[in-house]
Amino acid sequence: MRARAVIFRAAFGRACRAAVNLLIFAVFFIPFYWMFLTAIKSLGQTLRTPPVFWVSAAHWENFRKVFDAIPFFSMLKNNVVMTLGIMICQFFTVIPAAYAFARFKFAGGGFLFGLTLATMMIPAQLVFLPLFLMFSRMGLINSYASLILPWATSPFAIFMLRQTFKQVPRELIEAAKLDSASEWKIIFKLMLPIARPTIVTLGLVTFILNWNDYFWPFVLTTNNAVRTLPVGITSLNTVDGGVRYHVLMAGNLLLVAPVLAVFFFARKQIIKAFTYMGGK
Amino acid sequence: MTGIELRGVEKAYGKNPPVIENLDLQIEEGSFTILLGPSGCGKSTILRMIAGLERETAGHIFINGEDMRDVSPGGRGIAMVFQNYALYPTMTVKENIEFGLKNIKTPKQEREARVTEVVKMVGLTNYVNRKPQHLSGGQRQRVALARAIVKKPKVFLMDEPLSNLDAKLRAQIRTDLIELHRNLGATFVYVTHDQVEAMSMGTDIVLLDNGRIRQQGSPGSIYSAPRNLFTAQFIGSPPMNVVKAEDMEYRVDHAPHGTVSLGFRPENAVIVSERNPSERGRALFRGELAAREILGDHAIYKFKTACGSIRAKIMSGSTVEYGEWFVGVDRKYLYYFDEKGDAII
Ligand SMILES: Nc1ncnc2c1ncn2[C@@H]1O[C@H](COP(=O)(O)OP(=O)(O)OP(=O)(O)O)[C@@H](O)[C@H]1O
Ligand SMILES: [Mg+2]
Repeated sequence: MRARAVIFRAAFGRACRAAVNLLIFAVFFIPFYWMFLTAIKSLGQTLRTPPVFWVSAAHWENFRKVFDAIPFFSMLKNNVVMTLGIMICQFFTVIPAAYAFARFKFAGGGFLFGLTLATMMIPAQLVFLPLFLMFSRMGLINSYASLILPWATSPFAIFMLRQTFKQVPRELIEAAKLDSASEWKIIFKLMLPIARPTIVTLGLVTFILNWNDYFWPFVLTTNNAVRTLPVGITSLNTVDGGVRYHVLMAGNLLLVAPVLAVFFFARKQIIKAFTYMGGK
Repeated sequence: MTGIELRGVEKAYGKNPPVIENLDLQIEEGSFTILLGPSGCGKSTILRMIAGLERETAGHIFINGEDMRDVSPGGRGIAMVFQNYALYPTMTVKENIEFGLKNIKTPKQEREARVTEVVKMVGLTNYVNRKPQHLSGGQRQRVALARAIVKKPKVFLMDEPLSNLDAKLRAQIRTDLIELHRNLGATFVYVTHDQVEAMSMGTDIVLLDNGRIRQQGSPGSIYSAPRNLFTAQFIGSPPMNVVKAEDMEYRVDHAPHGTVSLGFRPENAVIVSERNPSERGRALFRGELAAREILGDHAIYKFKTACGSIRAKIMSGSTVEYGEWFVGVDRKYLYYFDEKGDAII
């Protein structure tokens, strides 16, 4: 009797775990499936109630309609330029700042770090108008500069990276000094390799946030020449009057495809980065 | 003047009162010098000042007669082994070892030869391409040693390098270190709070307390001729028994003038069943056996007496039963201390 109860309980536990896994999978997968499905539906199918969960013939022309409605490839290029530009700028601003805050004691260091963190608490909606005015006075509206400069650094990234640098045991740096390493050697051969998982993770976060960003590119540009994909895709909403969910979703699919690809290829690195950060 | 010399060295951290004041210390070239003392007495601080990782607030440090005040840690001709090894986690064993050589631009050929030799010496030939986190504690310890040896320093500084290892490995590496010291002929400065390590490895022991040197000398002289109560009670296991002269039931009539307390080592005590008045040269204590530790080749007995507890360490023989006994000590084994705790000789 006892043995059977144990077996039953084990089986029940396995079943519960499987059910939970299935649920989690569904929560994450269904929205993607729905997006993909809508992207290949006809307009009629998107509006049907009850909704259809399967289509027999895919309407691939939805994608062509995306290309017809917006200058897709020029917007894609803008997106790439903006995202890469931001990532490169942050690389050169965040790493030195984080390193200095973590390693050096200097007059006003604590205050400056506090100030850096304080900027995280200012909502974007509060600063976009002054920022817009500033950029327009400088003649930078409708330029890549206006897309990149507001995000050329990141207080969050500075904070995270500073923590990582601070966690490096003091003895490690001392050992390097005893090994005649210069400050540059210490940075490039010791500290940056140790911080690599954090840097990669922060890079991915920056990539995803800015790739999908809608608000800033929208308010800081006024014509399609420099507008980015999220702005363009949203405008699909309103072409020809009525809401065309199928074209909108086709556009969305094209927008998130690179993000999904990055996730797919960098999966190991991302997991490692997060477990490393959590396990320390 | 060769070796290492500290002259009037003072160290204060920030605005705190100094942890080391006016310290004079000489470490002879080629010696295996142990900085020994209780936790917080300033051993690491002294070592780190010699390494140049901590700046002395006053005084001078000389290595081979050269004032080190403006010499960087890398330029002092020293190597250091840290308690937690401080291996570079993103580098392989080989990269860890050759990092220091690369930084001083040692030609590749020589570098390779030296790394290969050292790796063989510490028995890590099969592990050169591993990262430190995939090594056992003992292997990491050996990488840390190899990283120091490969630089061919004149001085090795070690801060409790064995404290993270289990007892067996510790004993083994202890022997390895003695051998290494003999082979290299370099000066070793070794920090520990473990007197067994100190006694077994050192050629010279510097006993520290509260940032001051209480006694410096060979292990033998520190053991047999302690100059004060602190030294007497720090060295030896179990430590020396110390009793107040005035509390003694049977007075020692030959104690020198000014004696306040008497000491004797547990290993010099004998246990007898009755008082023999004819034995004049002996200090005698009547006591109740309170605890008994049988440790194979010897046993340690703890007695409660009129002047506190007393330990006796007896090499194996018949086991002493619980009850009342007399503990006797030959007068030649007695140490006398005055009221300041200094030995009277
Ligand atoms: N960075 C520091 N800042 C302030 N005080 C310090 C610092 N390092 C050490 N001290 C103080 O200096 C004194 C000596 O410390 P030190 O590390 O030299 O002791 P130690 O003899 O090595 O002890 P242990 O055996 O525990 O390692 C201690 O009282 C300690 O609190
Ligand atoms: Mg210490």
